Amino acid sequence: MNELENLLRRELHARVAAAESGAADEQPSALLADLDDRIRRARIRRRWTVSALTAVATAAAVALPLTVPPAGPPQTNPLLVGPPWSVPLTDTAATPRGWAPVAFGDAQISVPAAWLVASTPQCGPRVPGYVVLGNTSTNLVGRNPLCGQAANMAAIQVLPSSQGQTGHRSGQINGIPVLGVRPPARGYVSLLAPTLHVLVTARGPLAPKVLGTLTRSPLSVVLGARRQFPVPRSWHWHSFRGIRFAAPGSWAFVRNGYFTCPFGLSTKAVILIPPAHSRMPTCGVEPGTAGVLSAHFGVTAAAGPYPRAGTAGFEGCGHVHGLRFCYSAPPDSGGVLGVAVFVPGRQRATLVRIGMAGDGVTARTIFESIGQR
Amino acid sequence: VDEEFGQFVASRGRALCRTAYLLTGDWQVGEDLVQEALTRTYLRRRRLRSADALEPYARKVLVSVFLSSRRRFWHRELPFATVPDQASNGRLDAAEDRNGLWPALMALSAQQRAVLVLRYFEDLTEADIAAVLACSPGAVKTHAARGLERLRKSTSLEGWTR
Repeated sequence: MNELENLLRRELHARVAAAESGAADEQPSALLADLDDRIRRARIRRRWTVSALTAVATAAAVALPLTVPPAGPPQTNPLLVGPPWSVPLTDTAATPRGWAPVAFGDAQISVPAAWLVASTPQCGPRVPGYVVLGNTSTNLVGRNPLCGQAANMAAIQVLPSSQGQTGHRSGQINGIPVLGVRPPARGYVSLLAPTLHVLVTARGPLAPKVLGTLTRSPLSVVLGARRQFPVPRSWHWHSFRGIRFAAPGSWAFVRNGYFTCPFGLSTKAVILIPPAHSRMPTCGVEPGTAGVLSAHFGVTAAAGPYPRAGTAGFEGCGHVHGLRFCYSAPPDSGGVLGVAVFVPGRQRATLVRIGMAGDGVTARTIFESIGQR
Repeated sequence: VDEEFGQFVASRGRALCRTAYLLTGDWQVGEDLVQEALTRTYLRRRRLRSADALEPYARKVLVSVFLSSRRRFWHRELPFATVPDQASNGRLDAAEDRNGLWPALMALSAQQRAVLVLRYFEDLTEADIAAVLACSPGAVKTHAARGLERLRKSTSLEGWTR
């Protein structure tokens, strides 16, 4: 072995040792942390592949005998025009006028804007209706006999990953496969949406209409596995605290801004918040109605309050353009995706708050554009 | 993930991260690569003959994902009008500056870098590397020779001869 090979061998081991000492605080279990989510998404992607191929094959089998072209120059098969893949988006047309979307996990339903959004059943004659957000252990049936519950309610319950996916009746709502399952009590209707990992339940005269608004949440669009949305030419790039990101060029731009109430965003604005302004204000108590909590467009970047290695309190972590990030989107955040981006060499994460309004494409494009400056 | 795979990740995940780091030049990007490789390995694990086949298969997927990711457009460099404000890690910079070998290695083609990492870090034979890269042993020899030649010709390594 010659000297260069020896040098190369030593260099590789030295580099690894140096890098490992820099990443010493990360346990091997950190590798497992995102693995479940990745595997789940990979399985969904596979299912979509099979479904898409099956649909194309079926359509081709039906359409081709009916569209045999007459003799002449060959024509393009309309079934093969356009991209073979398309990322499923939030169906904004599913939200009736005057209603507001309520997203939780990978699912979204729409309800009248005045309905309350809560984690437990709501009491009182003045409650026009409510949405309960929780998991499968969340009680949806109020046990207090003195509690005069609203006639209408709905619920989104996130399924544990081990939950079996069986049901007695199957169908589709806005393209989402659903299975009818046993409801929690008489008068309720429960639908399992396996691809969205949720159980959706409704009660009352508006139940069919509410269930008919089921679609995927903007969060599931933003965190979807495939990269599909290049930054449009009309967008502007912004650099801040070691990162860069893009946002629509038509949005207002504030360089030395502040967090604004109630959710730290301004509608259709890019706000860069310097460290001196990064304290979140105390906002007035707003009723947690679907209308108040519905998402807006906008993006805010600030020096995050999160330390370099801290990932507690986040719903998940991953990498975007080589930068590690952790995110959270609690149901009371007003449809804001909070992304803490950890830039190598910086003590504090840079916090990017993205409004997840509409079909999720704008938020996803902003999110995907995040990279190191 | 099931318990067996969890144990595999706990015991061998770090080793895969080291290889991935040497391929990508960035620990976090390497971890991302490893997670993608582990995801694909997990989904195919039932087709593997035994638990012992997990690591070779995961390494093969890791290299395959790395090579295919290098071919995608979003890894190409983008021109910027402003000089980037690059954050850095002092310890790594010290290692990088020692002999200029690291930047020269990062400048190699993905195939050449993969061959050199598998040969001189993983200590795999040419036949094993050929199996990982799904190419012939002759192609491995060619990539290794060209990679070493490019390292030798890099400015800071001109003094190193055969």
